[in-house]
Amino acid sequence: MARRVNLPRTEYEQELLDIGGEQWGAYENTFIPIEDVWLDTIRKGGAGEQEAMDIAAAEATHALSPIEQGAYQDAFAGGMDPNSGAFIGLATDLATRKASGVSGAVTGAKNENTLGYYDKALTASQYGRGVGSEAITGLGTSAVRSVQADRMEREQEEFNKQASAATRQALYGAAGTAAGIAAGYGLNKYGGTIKDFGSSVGEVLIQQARGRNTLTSW
Amino acid sequence: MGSTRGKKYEYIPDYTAQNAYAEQMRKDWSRYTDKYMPIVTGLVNDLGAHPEELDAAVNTSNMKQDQAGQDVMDTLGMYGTQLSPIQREAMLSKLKASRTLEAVKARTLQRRTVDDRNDALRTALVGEGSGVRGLANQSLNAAAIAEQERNATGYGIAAAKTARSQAKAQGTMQLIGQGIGTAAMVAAMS
Repeated sequence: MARRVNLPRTEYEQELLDIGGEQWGAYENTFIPIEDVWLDTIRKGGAGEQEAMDIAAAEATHALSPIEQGAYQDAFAGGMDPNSGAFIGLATDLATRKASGVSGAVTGAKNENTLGYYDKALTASQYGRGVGSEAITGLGTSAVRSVQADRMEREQEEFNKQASAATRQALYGAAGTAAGIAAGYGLNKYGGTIKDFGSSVGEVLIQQARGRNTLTSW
Repeated sequence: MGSTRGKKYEYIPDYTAQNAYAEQMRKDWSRYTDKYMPIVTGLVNDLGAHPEELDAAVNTSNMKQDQAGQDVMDTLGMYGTQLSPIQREAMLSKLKASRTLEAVKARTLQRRTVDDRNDALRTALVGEGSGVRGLANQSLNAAAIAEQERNATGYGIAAAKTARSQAKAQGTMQLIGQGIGTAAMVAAMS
């Protein structure tokens, strides 16, 4: 069973960890809701568009009406008869031109709204890519760190195994030396007896073999 | 007498900061995909001819021209104008012609507006696409770096295991040799 080694976190590490946690909390609780509101406004059409179109219509009408009235005053001041074809033509021209101006303003407001949506969406997209890039950099760094952590863990495991193996080898070495001494001592003490015994057994075997050979040769 | 088995020590790593960082980065990525990617998709989907916008421009024009007809009648009534049948006919023809011409103008103008807008949006989206490509490359590169690091670790571990196994075999051979040698030496010396 291995004994554990602990290294306590330094004061500075803890400080940074705390700041990171606090700031992430602030971002998530304060800024993300703002960001979400902003992101929700990025859409084409909607109530904002209709409002812009209504305002444009009102502004165009407001701007054109005095011109229309001025034209009538000028016409009457010049002696134009309200029953004349010229007056009827003037009234028709002024009304249709005003209608053209107002409808142009309304459609223009709708187009402006669309362009505004594009601008805002593109800005958001660029900002979003910054978020994505930050995430990928962070995940990439985390991936490398996790591999490094795994390596350090395996190295520690391997180092411990190697150290144990070296200890075991040293033990075997001592055992080998002891066994050698014992074997040498044994050989020395009982070598003659063993030799004699071996010779006797060998002799018997040889004689037996020879005997059989003699018999079979007859 | 001391122990024949040395102690083993293991460092217990602390990954608090790393895990917190990785967790936030995952949140960052989710935020990008959940909140920002749909905006880009919305822009891409907005590319097109938009016939509904052309129709809307025509409808607005028609509505305002119809209003103009009513405005003329109000104006004439206000000034006490008495229209002869021919004058009425001429006025109605003029209003009708104006309505048609303005409708054509509105459709044409809106089509051009949409075309110009599409062109500008397409250009902007090419830039966005380049950014997305950059993110893809950045991600693959990060994966490749981690993979390389893992491979280097694998090589290192394999080499260490080989060294340990070879050292064990060498030790066994040394043990046999040492035993035989010692035995021979002791036997010779006795």
